[in-house]
Amino acid sequence: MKSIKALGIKAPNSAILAENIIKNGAEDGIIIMLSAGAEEGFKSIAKKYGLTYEIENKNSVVVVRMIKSEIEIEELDVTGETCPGPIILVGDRLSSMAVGDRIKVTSKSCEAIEDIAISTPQMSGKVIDQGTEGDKSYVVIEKTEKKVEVAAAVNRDKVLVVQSNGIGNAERAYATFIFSKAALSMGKMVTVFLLMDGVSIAKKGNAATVKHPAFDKLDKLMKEVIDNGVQVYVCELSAEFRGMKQADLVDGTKMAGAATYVTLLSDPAYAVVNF
Amino acid sequence: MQIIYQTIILAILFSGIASGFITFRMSGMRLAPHFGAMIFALIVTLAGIATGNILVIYAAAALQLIAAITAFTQTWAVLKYNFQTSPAYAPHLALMGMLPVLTVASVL
Repeated sequence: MKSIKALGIKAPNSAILAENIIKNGAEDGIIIMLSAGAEEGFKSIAKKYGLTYEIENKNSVVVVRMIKSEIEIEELDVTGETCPGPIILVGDRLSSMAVGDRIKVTSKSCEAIEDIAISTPQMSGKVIDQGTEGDKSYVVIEKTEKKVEVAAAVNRDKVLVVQSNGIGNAERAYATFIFSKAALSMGKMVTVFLLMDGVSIAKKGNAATVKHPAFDKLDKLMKEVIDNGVQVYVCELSAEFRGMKQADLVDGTKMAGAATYVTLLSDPAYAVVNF
Repeated sequence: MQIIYQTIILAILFSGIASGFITFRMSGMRLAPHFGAMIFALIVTLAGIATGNILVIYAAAALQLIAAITAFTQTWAVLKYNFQTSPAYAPHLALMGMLPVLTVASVL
């Protein structure tokens, strides 16, 4: 790491000098001594090159430290854990981490990783990176300060339809998509979450066996709703309990875990219709 | 030929009409083929008992088997994937489950 004396050089020349030094071989950061008032612009340079920014005043000299941060990433493999196991493990670990610490969660189940990523902001976390390594999916989470939310009026422009009844109860099954269709017509953003018996609706071929006297077959109504932008989630645990996998589901539906469900319920913008 | 068996079957079919109507409504009219088969079986069974004609009774037996088979095939998806609701179907399926045994016994 370079330590540089740049007394007498004023902003913005001092910033330009520092940037050139970093570009030419000081990627791990520099410590530079400046005259008072010459530190203007250094913060943006630190941000640009991913360096931490610290400033210290000594008499008429300003010492600026811009150092590359080395954060150790803890690893947690949740492969094989049954929902809601992964989110419980991650939540417990996050709650004991210090602000700024990072954790890398891996799993062979991409649904579990997506579930964790969706709910991370509500656990005082931030998603840093997400992707696939070999046969495993991963997400890197950084612990952040817990936000103190100020109560404010929320425009309830979203509708969450929760359905725990399936093809064995035709009227309730139809209600899922009839209400969704109505909400879409009113300009609302709609999400459907199927759990317990409700997951039977999303299995290929099942909805076609349901017919309401006043409407077309359920599978056509469901497809119409999905084509109009409604996201349909299927409870991972309920589907697994019934021997269903993602491949068994109709196009446009997606497996999701308990964390996604709780995250949706926790969003104050959602009006929840629960069957 | 055991007319007593056919009489018992007739009683089961009558009961099945009531319980079947519940499942018929709950499943959204999709049990119509089974419901039709059951009603038809009821009529022919009644005719067989009334006339004593062996050919009519054989026809009734065939329809009874069809009613039982369609009952289970059409509710298969519910039984497998929708078992929280399947107790509502249990009374009707229990009655239909009795039909094959009695039907076979009545024609042997």
